[in-house]
Amino acid sequence: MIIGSPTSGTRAEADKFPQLTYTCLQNMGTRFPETKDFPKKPCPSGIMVNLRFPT
Amino acid sequence: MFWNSLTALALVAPSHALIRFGCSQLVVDRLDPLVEPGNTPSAHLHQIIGGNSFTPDMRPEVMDPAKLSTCTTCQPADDFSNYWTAPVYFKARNGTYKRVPQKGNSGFEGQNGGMTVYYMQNQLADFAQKSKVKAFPPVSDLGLYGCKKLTFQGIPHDHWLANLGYPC
Repeated sequence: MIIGSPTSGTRAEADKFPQLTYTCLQNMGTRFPETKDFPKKPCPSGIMVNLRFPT
Repeated sequence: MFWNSLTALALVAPSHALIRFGCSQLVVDRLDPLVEPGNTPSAHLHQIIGGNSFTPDMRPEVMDPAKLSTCTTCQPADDFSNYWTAPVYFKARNGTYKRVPQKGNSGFEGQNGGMTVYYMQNQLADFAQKSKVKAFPPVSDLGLYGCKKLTFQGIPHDHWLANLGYPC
């Protein structure tokens, strides 16, 4: 089972994989929001990547 | 007899549950048995977690991790699945790259890198978890390759996807 594609370079291509999202952790309990874009500002507790099957 | 009865009961009892567990890093390597079976190195670097039989070529006709693994980096000692993702690199102003460290989720701080794995019947927020699920079929039946032509127990791929939720 595979999620995403390393060749996705545009929003339209990324939208084919709605189950691949990022969460910018303000603390380790942060769960929202989930974004399609990689965070653009520093995330104090790190970046959580969310992958869901089925695609 | 006792065990037979217990097994039968376990098979018919409805189950409303989800499982969440941590898995430490097994290895970080340029290997991708799903997309590029047998290629050493693969095009991309991955952090791999799970069973210790992980190997560059894991096609069903070559090996079965459920049979060959003897241990796992996942908390459930009998989860011999492997899971892998591409790691992230930080590009410094001087053009050099440094791998961004990976860490365990809250509650799994003791693990080395890795991931948190969930198996759910429904989405996380649905506490009822009522959808029916079946155990994964043997890997030779699951057919992780050539998915578009795939059938499972005679069910065409699209139908199989919708009903059983084993996407490719």
